[in-house]
Amino acid sequence: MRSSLPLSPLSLLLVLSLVLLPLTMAVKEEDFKKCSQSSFCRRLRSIANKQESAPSGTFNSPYSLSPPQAIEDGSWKWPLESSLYPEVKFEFRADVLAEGDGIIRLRIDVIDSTTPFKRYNETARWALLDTNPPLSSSATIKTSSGKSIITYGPSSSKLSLEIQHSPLKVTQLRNGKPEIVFNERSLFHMEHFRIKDVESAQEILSESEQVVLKGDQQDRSWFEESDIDAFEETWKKWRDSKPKGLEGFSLDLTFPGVKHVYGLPEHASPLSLPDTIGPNAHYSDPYRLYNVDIFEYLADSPMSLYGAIPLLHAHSKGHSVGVLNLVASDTFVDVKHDNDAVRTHWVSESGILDVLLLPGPKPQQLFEQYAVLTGPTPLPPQWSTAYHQCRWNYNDEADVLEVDRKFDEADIPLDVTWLDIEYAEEHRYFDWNNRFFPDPVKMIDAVASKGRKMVVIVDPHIKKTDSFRIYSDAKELDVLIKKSDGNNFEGWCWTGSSVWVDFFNEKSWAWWTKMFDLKTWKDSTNALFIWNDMNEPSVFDGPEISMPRDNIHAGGWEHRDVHNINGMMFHNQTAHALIARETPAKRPFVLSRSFFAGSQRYGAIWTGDNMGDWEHLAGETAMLLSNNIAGMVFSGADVGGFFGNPTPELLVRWYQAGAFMPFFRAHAHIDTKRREPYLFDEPIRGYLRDIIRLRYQLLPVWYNAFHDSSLTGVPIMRPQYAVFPEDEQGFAIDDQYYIGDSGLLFKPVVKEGAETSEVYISDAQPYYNYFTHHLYPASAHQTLSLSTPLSTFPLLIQGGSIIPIRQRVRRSSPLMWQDPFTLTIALSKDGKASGQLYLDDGVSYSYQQGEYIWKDLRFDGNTLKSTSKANIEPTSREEGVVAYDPENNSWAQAVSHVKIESIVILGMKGEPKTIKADGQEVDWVYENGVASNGKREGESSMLIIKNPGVGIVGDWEIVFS
Amino acid sequence: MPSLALFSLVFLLAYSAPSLAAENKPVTPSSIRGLNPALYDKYEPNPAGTFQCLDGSKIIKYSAINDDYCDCPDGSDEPGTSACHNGVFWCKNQGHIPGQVLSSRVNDGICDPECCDGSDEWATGACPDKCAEIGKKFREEEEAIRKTRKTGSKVRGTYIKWAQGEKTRLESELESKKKEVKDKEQEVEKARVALEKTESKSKEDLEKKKLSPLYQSLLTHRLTLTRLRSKSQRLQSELDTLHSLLDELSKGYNPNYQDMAVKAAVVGYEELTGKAAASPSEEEKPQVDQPPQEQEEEIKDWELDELERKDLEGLLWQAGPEDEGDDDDEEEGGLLWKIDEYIPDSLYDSWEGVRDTAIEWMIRLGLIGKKKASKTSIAEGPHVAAAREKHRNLSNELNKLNNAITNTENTLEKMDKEYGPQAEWKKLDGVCVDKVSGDYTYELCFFGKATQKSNKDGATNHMGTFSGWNTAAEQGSFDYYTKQLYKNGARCWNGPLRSVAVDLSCGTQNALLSISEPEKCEYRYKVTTPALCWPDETEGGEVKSEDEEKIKEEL
Repeated sequence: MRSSLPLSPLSLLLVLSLVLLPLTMAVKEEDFKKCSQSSFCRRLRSIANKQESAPSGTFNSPYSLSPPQAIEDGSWKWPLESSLYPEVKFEFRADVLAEGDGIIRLRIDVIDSTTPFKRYNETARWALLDTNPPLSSSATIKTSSGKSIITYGPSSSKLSLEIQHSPLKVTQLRNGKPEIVFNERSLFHMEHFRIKDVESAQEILSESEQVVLKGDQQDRSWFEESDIDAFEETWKKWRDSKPKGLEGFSLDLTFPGVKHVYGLPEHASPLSLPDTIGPNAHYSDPYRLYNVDIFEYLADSPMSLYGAIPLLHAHSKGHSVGVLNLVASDTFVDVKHDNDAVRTHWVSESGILDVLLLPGPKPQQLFEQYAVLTGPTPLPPQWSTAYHQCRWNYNDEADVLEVDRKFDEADIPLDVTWLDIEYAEEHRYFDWNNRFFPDPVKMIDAVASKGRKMVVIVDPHIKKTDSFRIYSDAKELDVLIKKSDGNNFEGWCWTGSSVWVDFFNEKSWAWWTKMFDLKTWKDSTNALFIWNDMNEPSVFDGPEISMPRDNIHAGGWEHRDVHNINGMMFHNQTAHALIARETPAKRPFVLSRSFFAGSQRYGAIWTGDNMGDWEHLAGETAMLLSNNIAGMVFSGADVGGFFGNPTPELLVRWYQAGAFMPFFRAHAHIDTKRREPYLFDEPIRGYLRDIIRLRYQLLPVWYNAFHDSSLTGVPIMRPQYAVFPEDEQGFAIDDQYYIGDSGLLFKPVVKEGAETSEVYISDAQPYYNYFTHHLYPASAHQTLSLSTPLSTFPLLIQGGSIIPIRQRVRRSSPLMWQDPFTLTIALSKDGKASGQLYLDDGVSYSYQQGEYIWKDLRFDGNTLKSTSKANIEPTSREEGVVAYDPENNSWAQAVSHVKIESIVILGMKGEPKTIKADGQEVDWVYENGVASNGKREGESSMLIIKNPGVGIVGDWEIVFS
Repeated sequence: MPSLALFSLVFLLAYSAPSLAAENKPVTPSSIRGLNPALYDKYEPNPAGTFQCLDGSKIIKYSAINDDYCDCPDGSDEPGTSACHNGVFWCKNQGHIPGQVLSSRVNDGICDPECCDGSDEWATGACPDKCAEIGKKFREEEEAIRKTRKTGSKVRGTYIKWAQGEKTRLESELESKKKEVKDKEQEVEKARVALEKTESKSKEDLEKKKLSPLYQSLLTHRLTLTRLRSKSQRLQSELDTLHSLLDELSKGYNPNYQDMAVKAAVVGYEELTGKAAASPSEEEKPQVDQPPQEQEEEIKDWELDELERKDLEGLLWQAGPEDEGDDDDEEEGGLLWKIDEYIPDSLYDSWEGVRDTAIEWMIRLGLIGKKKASKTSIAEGPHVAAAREKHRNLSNELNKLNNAITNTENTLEKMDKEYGPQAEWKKLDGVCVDKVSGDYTYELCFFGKATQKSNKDGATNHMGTFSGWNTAAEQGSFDYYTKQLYKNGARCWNGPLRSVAVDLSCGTQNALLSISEPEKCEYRYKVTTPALCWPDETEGGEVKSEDEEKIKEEL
């Protein structure tokens, strides 16, 4: 803020008293708009009120279709008109996609507009892998008696799309049963562009409720609310010029027969989304999708946060469906649970309607279908799944090296040391502050000498100083975001007066890539990776701490059109730059705060500036599960909480939770006390060390999960409903989850002083306490109570799982590459188990050339077998997976000496007589205990095979008799 | 993994020959890889071919030692491999001192200086023996440290010597002052008796005069004035607090915070104080335009003081017996008395002598008459006043003496306890060291204050005042003197009071080496001083214990 505000001494006092309020004061809710403070939301949300209050059967959509025309195979269009404005032409289009078992794409846009304006139609370009995914050639259409019916999808699935022409209504059916209904409530409305008419505006001003009819003008007030802010909107001190005036749209989607909807990240709300409207409303405002930099956010709120994925899953015991609404402008979504259905109402400020209907029928297929559209999370560098240590800020080189050394002294593993904004001279990212970091390359090399990496922040705000090359380059290239008057936009951020690169401008791409070239950025090495923060974008003196909506991007699009994609564009280009800086390329690692549908392709995200309290710790699980089911699997939360000083107990619990997040990073605000794990006395330090070491031991499990996700988009953190889609008792559970398909079930302890924790079990399998091997006999729908003093927490192995772990923990994870494995085998009710092991070099793309090993591990009660997995899984859609030679590819050869040092079998019925590995007798011990097939609870029997003499590469079998 | 192929080749060799390894089973403890010779006797083979884990928890086959599988919960069966998470690998380090690394460092491909012979990387072969080089460097460093200590300890010797002299001086000073006190006490007592006598006589007169309405009214006025002043002081102090809060805010607020309200407050405050918009370097300019209230005719503090302090009873004396008449003649020698007021305190004692001699001579020569006591002390009857003044002066002198004694005693006590085992730190009391770091110059005055001065505008921040030594260590131990704390500095914007933890080490000079701020406004200084260069016999001890610690850490 560069202008000074006149302030009387009295208001100074007022300000002062505010400033002195304790830090417990949370988010400034008033800094962010509620629906009622947004002109488009007010207008469009009111349609639902009108529909609600209209007598049943009297509120009919003014929109209707004319008969369809085929565009090409799998694609049809219908002229669409509104009885409110017969002179305006719309077009409705339905596509059936070739991939994804019958995904439907619905689009509506204004055509032949008499105004110079155009609705934003490029969201798909940035969010989807393919702007126009290939179409199905087998779908057929029949049109009769005012209806078009499209039959599509694999023959087994019996999918059809019923399009009622007048009033407009679209229903997706499976086996004749409706599963998704578009415009069931007639809330669809697309505001057409109008040129501001001074006279009528005044008229509206004076008659703010009812438009006075003139001559033959229609009464539209039953549907369309007048709005004095239609052509210009002022909020607080910011004026939005809204040059295109009205351009919002509204749609309703109804999901018959379901009681649970999930998705719409990112919100600090339960996984199963509660109502925002109606008698059971949990929130008073709709879920909002508008990426913002929110300070100390509330732990339970529909307010928008840093990221937005307009994806919703609707789930019942019998079926699952999803919708992806490709819109990047400010969007509010109302959710209402009725007896027969869940009804949702979406209103957006601008853009075309571009909605994808995902047919399911189970959560597993929804994940795959979403990945078909937006892509899965590619395999990250293996080290990025290990432990990250961050703080705002490690002050200088000595500080960084001391942290590095102290971890070693305390024998706590560490992979990545992070530097926040203070590393950069005047927050001019890329430029190290030489007073504190005189030789960055030397420092990074020192850190990297133990297999470690560093991450520094590069934020999108660019200090407006001619001496700063990034600024002068960007200005010269003319790739900066513009104000509505065409001049470069300037705002305030960490850097003071700043500008922002427009990454929608293709001219910026090659330039940005060059900035990360190791020859250009001489103070970097290939062990240095990047953190993109503040990319909502955060603008301290802007409306809602972001950018004015009438700012201009490439192609003349307004910021309002692309707002939610903005962060992803930056993330994408940075990730691309890291891939390009080395030949052969290595996998990039870029952490972003802001995200959108598709961001999973570019790296990790975290849940932003959380608080170091129990409430936020408790809230993280649901947030991360929500991200995971929406494709954003590589996510985590600041361990310890960004703000505040957690008690040692809270910190331990937070590390326990963090060690089971896909992205595991401790971070802290500059005002907090230091809390690196080595700083604590025993027993706290021991607890922290044990939990971090556990993460390292389980890294093979995490890598398996990342690999699976990279193939099909399946979540890494899997909520109960996704694993057991038919167990209704698990549908609302969002405080425990499974790690990939490993069979590990984890629940963080999030209550102070909790001595016991309860875990819900859906299936009829025995479960084993990971730490004590205590066996809970099989019984479906049971709730287990576990003793969870501070030293431990619920981590269970589902009977039937084989968990590959590495007992030997090194200083950093890359150093563990040739260490032996232990297989922990937890037997199922019927004495069997299975698992997998995927390994590659962890950093390069050579796995795309078939350089990896991938083993299927299976125990049938008598024989334990390790065999190479089929070359390509039937569900695999990752283009990178190629046929491979399981034993002779160069990675397999490099690890051919890596052995299985130990096999632990839990829950055997009795002691075997002999055990032979590939014909050779092996060394083993057996301890009596409870068996997997019994009804008795207690410590399970345990068989330990010592050094069985088998490796991870070749196929082998161990026979028990 | 640059030498992936090499690694795997070595591994193939290492692991693909189990039969060879079996034949080479260790038969003597000295052939057990990674085993500390101090433990050889625990690893002697027995006829049963077993080995007992060092913690006694388990008996395993002797052949299970170093078989790359962790059998013993304490890790004692795998001194030479990475199999146990809690084991250690002992390195001979020929040419250097022996060392140990954690098992998790064995064969991880990293060359650890603790194992300069590379013996821990027996399977990767990643690390050549560098002990000759490292050992040489180590010895050179040790030698350099020894030299520093030697030189430093000489300087320290001078500190100690100085402290001894200082101690003797203080002790004798203490003794003589104690004697003086005794004499003085007697004089005071005499003066007190004389004063009491005079007082009781004049008291009655005064009581009568006090009954006059004018006097009573005056008393009321004074009371009101006092209350008014105290109220005004309270208001002023609140205003000051507010100013200082806002001043702190405007200087210390983090411009990084996105809190626009804070920014608004700062801008408003700067406008109020006239610092607005002007860049910081021009700060002095606006001072010319004083805020308007400064231009008003202001009641000065000293005026009020005067009013409050005016000796009303003295005035009664003046007003009452005015006709008694002997003060109509202008005071001869008055000038000499008046000079009193202009003599600085430090010269007063000698001036007093000069003056009294001069007056005595003048009286003798008949130039002036005797000084009227009533002129200098009119508060009471002239006799009472004289007696009182004499008593007061004597009491003051006594107090001064007692204070001096307490000070000396305190210093002597500190020299026994707080100034180091041989009072060597006494020499450094008040000595300052400083260093420029970033935009600031940091200064530390031992046993005094730590300050931070901006190199841009010269603004100074108080970082803390000496509060003590390392409380975590035993008082008087070496560790106790390796750390000083300076606490309760100026408060940080939105943060704690500034404080400094000073890490001290032996050096030939008193110097501030580095400043860091691991947490906001909690600073850490690294300082060297000869005062910590303890002499050789303790040095020997030190070195040993440091070494032990090193090994412990590795364990």
